[in-house]
Amino acid sequence: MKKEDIIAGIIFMGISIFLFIQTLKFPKPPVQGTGPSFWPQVILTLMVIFSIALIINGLTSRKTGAAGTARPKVALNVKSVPKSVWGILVTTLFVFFFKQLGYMLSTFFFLIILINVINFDLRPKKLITSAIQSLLMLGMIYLIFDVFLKVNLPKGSFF
Amino acid sequence: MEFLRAFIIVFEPVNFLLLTSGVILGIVVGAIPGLTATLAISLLLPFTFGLSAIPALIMLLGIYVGGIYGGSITAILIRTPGTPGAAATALDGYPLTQQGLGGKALGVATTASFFGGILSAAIMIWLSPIISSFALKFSSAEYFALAFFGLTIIFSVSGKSLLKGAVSGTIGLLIASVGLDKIAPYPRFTFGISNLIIGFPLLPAVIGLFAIAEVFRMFENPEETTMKVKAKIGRILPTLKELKGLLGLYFKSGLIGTFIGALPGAGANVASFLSYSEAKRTSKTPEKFGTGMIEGVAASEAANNAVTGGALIPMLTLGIPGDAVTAVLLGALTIQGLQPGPLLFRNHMNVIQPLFAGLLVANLVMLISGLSMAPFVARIATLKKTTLLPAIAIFALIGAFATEGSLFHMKIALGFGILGYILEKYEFPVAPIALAIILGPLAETSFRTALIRSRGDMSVFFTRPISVILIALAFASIIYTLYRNIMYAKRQINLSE
Repeated sequence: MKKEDIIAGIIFMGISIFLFIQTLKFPKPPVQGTGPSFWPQVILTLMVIFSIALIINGLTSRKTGAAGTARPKVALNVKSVPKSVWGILVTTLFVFFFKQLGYMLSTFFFLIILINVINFDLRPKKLITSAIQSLLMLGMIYLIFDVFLKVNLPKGSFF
Repeated sequence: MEFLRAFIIVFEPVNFLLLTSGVILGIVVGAIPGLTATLAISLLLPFTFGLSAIPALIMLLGIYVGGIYGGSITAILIRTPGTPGAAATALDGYPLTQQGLGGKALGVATTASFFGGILSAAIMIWLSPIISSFALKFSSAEYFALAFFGLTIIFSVSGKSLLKGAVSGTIGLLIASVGLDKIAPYPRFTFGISNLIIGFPLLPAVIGLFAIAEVFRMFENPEETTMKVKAKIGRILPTLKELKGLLGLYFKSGLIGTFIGALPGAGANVASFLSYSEAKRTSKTPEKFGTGMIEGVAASEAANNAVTGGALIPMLTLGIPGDAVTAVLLGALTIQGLQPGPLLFRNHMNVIQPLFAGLLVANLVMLISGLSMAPFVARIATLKKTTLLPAIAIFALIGAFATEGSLFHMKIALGFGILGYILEKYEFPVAPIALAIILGPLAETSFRTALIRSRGDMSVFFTRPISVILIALAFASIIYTLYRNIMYAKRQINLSE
């Protein structure tokens, strides 16, 4: 059994059914197959079929990897959280504070945090290096987008 | 005379500078393992907004040509193909480096890429107007059949699982249906978000799927650094005698690459391996392949760069992208206000001809840059990911913002980045999503227009010869892909037993 496929199938099916119900509210056309609901309904029906196939596939296939092998226990601390999760979290925060903090501050914090999330190395020497690296990138991006491409990067509330 | 004028436009200082920087950036990004030509174009698309159509498009073509070639440098010098298309190059390229002949391999790879690229560009220039004038006769029924055929490409770019590829394709079609309906103006799936009235913007979606998702994926193993170039490289420029001996192989591999490139779903990796095995099959010493045969490098590289011209044929003439790179390029054309397809050749020959000339010149620039910069590029490609990842992430995000100076676009890029990352983590490919976002609206609009014209009579799709042929080809393509996958699965079971 492949649990991920079953879960994915259930999620996709749930979304499809929800959206299909939404299409029932779309206006009805005079000629069958020409209204705004027809195409999404075809796609959503296909999605339900594929979701069912995914669930069946998950139920019938063998899980890849050594069966019965227990996952090694990992101590729950900052380092045990996958770096990709940190990456997504930091990027999401950057996007949501981009306008408020402005380009300069938000990008500087984003870069320095991202570099240190990758390294997990908080020695002063490394922090100074990453700060210089962030400042250089910040300046380069500013030059390219604001100066050359005339993109109006947000100034934020602090400048 | 018109074509000469196109060359003069390409050689205008600003255009030539943009094309050259495109080729060099493409080579550098293509050489970095894990970063593909698709990512290079997605990342550098925002650069082209402020430019008019011709400089923007020739710069992107430069990135495309450079990006496909760049993969060979690290394949030869450190046995890590920068792009999947260069995997076959590593088979003989790296053994040559170990023998101290890395320079020779680089030289042959560069000249082979040049010959393959030029040959495919010439074929594209010759064939495209013929195909586009034929496609001008298409009505909405034929356009639907064409889009339907194009959508079957999803199966070929699905990777390991056809089912998961189909799911991804359906997600893409669903995403494309968000926003104001083009025929009966009714907002679909906008849930009161006014920004979604025009649907999901293509560019931030592409940046999210191909660049940001890739950054999140690379975060999983950021300590991974590539090997350093240790071995002696030696002389790069091949001698005339060496070139003369390889010309026939360049030509044959270039033809294979162009043909494969024009087929939907079959990209540089298929072309290079096919050409490599053809070179091995016809060699007098096939047993030496894999131990450092220069013919192996030549066959693989001429074929993978020949894919560029081939892949542009269906994209430019019919508006059907054959893979992820051409899907992004198609998006770039649309952003410039140009709709790929037969009408492009009728209404915008002033753009098309410089584009053709640009592709030829890009190959020439690639030859010169490759021969002079390859070892230096290899050093950049071995930079630590700690330096690369934040730079790619910030570039992609600000690039998405720059498309309209809108935070909404940045959020879309982030959303698609997270979606792409999660889907790929569970083995759902993302290329079908991009293809479906592009082809979905064409399929829907032409399908509904054809039905409105025929007053709901479905036989309109099965009574017009071109439409019937295209629909039959679409089903044949699905059946063939299914058959190929079943045979592959059977072989795997037999092997494991």
